[in-house]
This record gives sequence, C-alpha cells and structure tokens, in this order.
Amino acid sequence: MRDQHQMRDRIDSFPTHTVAGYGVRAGRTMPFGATRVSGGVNFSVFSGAAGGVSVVLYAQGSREPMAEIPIPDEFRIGAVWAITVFGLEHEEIEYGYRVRERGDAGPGDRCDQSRIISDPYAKVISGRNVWGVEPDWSDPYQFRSRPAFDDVAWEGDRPLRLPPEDLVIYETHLRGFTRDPGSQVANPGTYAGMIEKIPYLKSLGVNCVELLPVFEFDEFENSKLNPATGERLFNYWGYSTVAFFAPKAGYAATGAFGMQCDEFRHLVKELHRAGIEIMLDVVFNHTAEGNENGPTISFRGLDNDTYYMLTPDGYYFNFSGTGNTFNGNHPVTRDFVVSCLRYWASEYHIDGFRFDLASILDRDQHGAPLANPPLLESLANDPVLRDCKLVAEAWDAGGLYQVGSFPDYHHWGEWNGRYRDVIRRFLKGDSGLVGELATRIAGSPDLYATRGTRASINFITCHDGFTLADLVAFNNKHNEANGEDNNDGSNDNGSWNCGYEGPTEDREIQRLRHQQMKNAMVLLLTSRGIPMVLAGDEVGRTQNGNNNAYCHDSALSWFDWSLVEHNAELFRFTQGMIELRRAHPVLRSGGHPEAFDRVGCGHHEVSWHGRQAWEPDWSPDGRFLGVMWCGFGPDGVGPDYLYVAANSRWEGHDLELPELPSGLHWNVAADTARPSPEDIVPAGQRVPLPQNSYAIGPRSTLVLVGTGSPNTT
Amino acid sequence: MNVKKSVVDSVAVVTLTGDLNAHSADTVQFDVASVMPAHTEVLLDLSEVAHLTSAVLRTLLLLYRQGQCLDSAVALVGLSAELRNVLSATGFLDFFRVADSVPDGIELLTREAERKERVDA
Repeated sequence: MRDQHQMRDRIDSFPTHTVAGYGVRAGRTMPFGATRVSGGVNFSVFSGAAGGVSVVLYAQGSREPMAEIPIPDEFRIGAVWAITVFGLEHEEIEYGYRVRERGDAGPGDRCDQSRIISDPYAKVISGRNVWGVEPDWSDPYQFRSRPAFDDVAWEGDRPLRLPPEDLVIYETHLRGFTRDPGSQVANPGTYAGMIEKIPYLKSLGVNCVELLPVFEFDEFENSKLNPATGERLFNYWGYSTVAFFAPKAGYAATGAFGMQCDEFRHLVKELHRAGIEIMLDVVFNHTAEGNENGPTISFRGLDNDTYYMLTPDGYYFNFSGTGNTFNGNHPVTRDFVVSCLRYWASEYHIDGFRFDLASILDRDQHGAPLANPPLLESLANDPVLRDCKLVAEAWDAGGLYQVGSFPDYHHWGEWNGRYRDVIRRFLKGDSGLVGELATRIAGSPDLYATRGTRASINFITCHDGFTLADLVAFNNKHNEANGEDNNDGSNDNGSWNCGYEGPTEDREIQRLRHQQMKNAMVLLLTSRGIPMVLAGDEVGRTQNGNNNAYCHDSALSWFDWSLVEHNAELFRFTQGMIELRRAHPVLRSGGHPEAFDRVGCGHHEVSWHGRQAWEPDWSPDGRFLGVMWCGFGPDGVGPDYLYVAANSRWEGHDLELPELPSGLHWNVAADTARPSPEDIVPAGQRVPLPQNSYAIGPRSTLVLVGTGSPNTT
Repeated sequence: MNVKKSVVDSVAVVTLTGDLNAHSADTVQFDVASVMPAHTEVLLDLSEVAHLTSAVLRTLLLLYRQGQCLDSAVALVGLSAELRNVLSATGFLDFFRVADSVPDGIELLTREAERKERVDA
C-alpha cells in the first residue's frame, strides 16, 4: 500500500525540451527565484528590459560556469522568464542570469550581457561566506545566487505577537554583540553566538532584539585602511543590501558550509523560546549597486528603470545619500518589497521590521512625496504582515522629515526623533523644555493622537550617534578613526561632558556621568511609548566619542563584556528599571493619558507637579517636572500610583509630594542621587516614606510607588 | 559513500564512511531506515565523516522522525568538533542523543530501552 505521505509524480515533472544538454520545460512563473521542484530546479525572473535571458550554472565553488541555458522566448510570460531545469542537485549549484538587452533600450536601461546577474530573489548568496576573508577580486561574478532548502523544523515556533506597548527593544549589531573575545561564546560574532547570550538578555529583561542589517551585504564595500593606524575599515553596519532574501553568510558559524539559513532560524527559535521577539532593520531605500559608477549586481542588470528612481536622462536620484534610490512605489518594486517581507515573516517568523530612511518609501518614481503611497499602504494592510511591527525611521537624506506625519494606515510606528532630542537637551540642563518633556513622557499625543502610544518608539541613543556613555562624556564628536577628517557624523548631539571632554580620573565627574546615564534610563523606561535601548548602554559601553562607527569591526564598536562586571551597578539599575516598567502597566498603556479618573482613585490618570504638588513649573527657566500616574495595577485591579520626578538643575529641591489616599504611602523605588545599591530598590525591600515630602538631589530623577491599603472608613 | 551495519547487544550500529552529501543522503536514509523496524535502538557512527551538508542534516532529522514513528531511538557517535559545532549552531543537535564512543552509545541506548520498558510495564 502506498505510503500516505508519498507524493504522486506530477505530470509536469518531465522535460519537454533539451537546451544546452539539459532537459528543460517551461517554468512556473511564480514564485520568483529558484525553487526546488520534482526532478530539478525552477528558475523565474522578471526583466522588462530583456530581449533574452539565460540561466548560467556553476558547480559550487567553481570559477567558470558549467552551463549556460538560454530560456526560450516561448517560455516567457509577459516580462517574466521561467524555466525548469532537470537533473540539478540544487545544493551543489550556484546560478545567475545573463541578460541580453532589447533592441529598443531607453536611457535608463543598463543591461550588460557581458555580466552575470545575481537573482534579486535569491535565498542564499555565496561569495562572502566567511566574514572578512578577502575575496578573489578577479572573479567577475562576486555574489552568487544559490537555491535554498525551504523545509524547516520549527518545533511549534510561532511569532510571539507581544503587545507593542509591552516591548522593551534592544538594538544591537549581530556580529558586534558577541565578537569580543570577552563574550566567551563558542562562535563569536555569529547567529549561534547570540544564542549563547540569550540568558544575558533575559536577565536584563528586554523582550525584543532589533538587529542591524542581516540581509546579505558586502563588508568590503568602500573598505579601506585607516591612514593613521593601518587597520582595515569595513562596511561594518551593513546598510547596503546585496540580497534582500538571503541572511548574511558571514554572520553564521556555518556560513562556510552554506547553512546560514538554518542557523538564523535556530536563533529565531531560541529567542522566541526565551520570550524575546526579533525585529530586523531593513534597508529598502537603496541598494549596494550605488550610482552609475557602482557595481552591477542584480537590479541594475535586470531592469534598471523599474527598480531605481532615475532622472529623465537615466541617472540616479540620490535621496538616500548613498548613490541610488530604490523605486519603492513602482508596482513591480512594491511587489518585490512586499514579497520580501512576507518571506521573512512567514519563513523566518520575524516579528517586526524597522525601515531605514523610510521616508524614501513615501516618494513616487520621480522622487516627489506622495499623499497616499501605495507601498506603505500595501505593507500596512498586508495579510501576512498584519501582526508584524512596522517601524519607520521617518526621514531621509533628501529633506523629508515626517516624524509625526508618516503615512501610518493605523499600523506604522516611528522612531521618535523628537523624543530623543528633548530628553538629551533636558538631561544636559537646557531650560524651557518642561512642557515638551511632559508631552514626550505622555507618549507624544501631539504626534500620535490617532495611533496611540504604540506608534512612538522612544529612544535616547541608537547605532547612529553617541552611545549613552559617550553622550555624557563628550561635547563634540571624535570620528578621526573613520579616516574622514572628523567631517562625518552629526555635529548636533545634544550631549554634555559633565565638565571634562572624554576619559577622566575625576571621581566626581565619573559619578555624575553614571548618574546622568541612570537619569536617561529612568526617563526612557517611565515614558509611555515603546522604549528602545542601545546594546551596551546598560553597562556604559563607549566608542571613545565616535558617533558614527559604521566602519569599525573592532573593539571600538564591539560589546565589551568586561563592562558587565566593571559597571555592574549600571546594569543592575537598568535591569531594575525594566522590571519596574513591567510591574506597572500604567507606564505602558497603549493609549495616551486622559484627564479623567480611570480607576476611581480620585485623581486623573496623569497629573503634573512642580516642587509643590499640583503646581507644575512650565516657565522658560523650568528644569523640574513631576508626574503622577494613577491606573490599573498588574492584576487589572487599581489603583496603582507612581510618581516620577526629573530635576536637571544643578541644585537639589525639597519636594511636596501629591497626597495619596489615607492608608497609602509613597515608597522610593529609584533615586539616581543615591549611591548603589540604594539607587534602585526592589519591590519587596521598599520602605514607606514617613512624610509627604522628599529631597530630590541635583541632576537626578526619582521614582516613587504608592503602597498600602486604602482606609475605607 | 559506504554504509556498514552491525548489531551489538541488540543495538544496530550503522557506520557511515566516505563523502556524505546530497547524492548519498538518499542512500543513507534508506539504509538506516531499513534497520529500524527490527531494532528499536540505532547508533549512527559518524567518526569517519568529515563534512556535512544541509541535505545530510535533513536526512539525519528525517531519520530521527522516522525513528519516532517506529518507536526507535537514534543516537549519534563519533562527532568531530567541527561536526558537533555545525549541528549545534544549526539547532539539529538538539534532536539527538550524542555519545563519545560506540560503547558509550550502546550503553546509552540500552539503558534508555530498559528505562522505557520499566515505564511501559
């Protein structure tokens, strides 16, 4: 009796033609890319500019092709060339396309039949299999497409679907997180290496990692030697995608064996098993092909005019600042982007995506901003992406700044650059910011009134700019090591060095810097919205004042694991603040606070205070803000009271605290002016304040929690 | 690629030698699966295997699944440091019991079989 799991032979699993010595038949148009089928491999590629397309096959690792199979024109459907080639062992081949231009090529067409083109839908890329290993530059086909196994043992894994407002996001570079020898992982700088550090992430309390680009890119792009030190500088951050469907092989311990897909999925499974979501930083605003002087890798050689925004005479618009601009709102390109994200969401169980320079995706094919951009609408309403977090870096290098106005379709969130700016300025002691500070702490209702607080990704630091430790240690950037005469990186950092530029032995300055870092964590983790922490900020990671370390694959940008012990105090404080946020849902409500009593506590959900209770100081000289939250507790029962105060003045104040109902008392949960371990107090160790006042220290923040049993008589 | 089979203390020991790749994966799967109905303990000796490919990883996992269906336990022995690292990094190692030597593997599977008999009894 036939095994019930055994498929019958298909009637299309036999060749109908012989081309270049291979049995072939007309291929399946969908899906695009190379797909394993019964007896062979199906190849499908779009090219509206082609007069003819050939599949070029290589034995894995061979420099020269082993076969070139022209796709008969009769196999073409519309502008899609598809062929099934039989007798291929898909694990042992590499492939590409040779595209012959149509006779009526326009100024925007750049097909070049002397080149082999990589498949934009390739699931695996060979060519940079081990990070930093110098390739054979004489090989004309550098980034070789390979088919991938699409069978996965998920063991019941599913995207976690954590409520966005409950996330604490941790932004990290995949390689940099474990590359330092101090990580003591078996496979430093890899997907497998990150798995070994999941216990650390759990201990810290974050529940979402956001990875800098992991789609295949060329670390040797624009690589050079530092003229001062001679060290190799790389395209380390990876914001220059070669292949959008392929995980970077050089980030895999098994990349040399082509197993990066399995290894990456293993990382996803283990993160999910630990209750941690995974978001990917995706770069659809441009590609690694650069402008007309850049390499032809895939898109340019297939259909330049479709995939890129071009001027009338065929040159590249450059709204990304990198040479080209991906033509996201062209129907074909839009389909590519949607397909790509569907692939990662469904085949890799990715929980969300952060879009680099996302405002480019709001431009039409000529670069003009769109009121109703089809791509953003499609992504927001896509059925496969429905549960994915979509986060926009809502600006671009062409002058668009859309924080608060990015077309959201009730799905998109944004990196809230306004939050970052006001927190930084407040911390450094600028005056006149109390009003805006309150707005940002409340979840930026001025920007996201229709979307709720989940639209606001609150951050103070990220990969762009200073680390938190450097934000409080440097007034100015120090990017000399980048080899660009310190001309790169932002000059507007909102930083303050606490009295001395850079490293110092002055104990008071060191103390103040630590206190300022804790202040940042308090504000970030008690604000409504979704907090994002830059990896290493919880232990005071420094880049020596470099605010644009994009090219450093070195200790300058790696996570320094010795800091976990060296700055254990800061780690413990951050850990405690994350735990406090988790324990008090009133801090992470998905809605903006409203002026009514939600829980019958006698107070509005949020109230603002100055040094005197109920009298906030909105004056131009104000540097103090108190906020009292009153909402439901973790078990859904209220009221839960929190009081958060921030004093950026160089003097302390005596505070009159808002009075709690009889039977309740304020308890100190965190006070950054106190030395460790009193700076953060776990829930079971808090002591009620004897009176309704408190002395807040200079340049410090304070969190009080109301506890006790209200008297009902 | 060669497949050598023997039986020690009711444990089927299958030794693989030569290149283990996509071409040989089907042979391996068939040969190993053929011993399963008769033997509830199967020890795969990979000590003479230098490299694994994605196809072979999947073959090993398929054998594990077939073993589950047939109530056969599959263990691995003879993993080089590189093989172990590949299996571990890709998550495939989690599916298998691993022993350091053939005698250890036989003892491991035998003990598990005895434990299972006690549970079933």
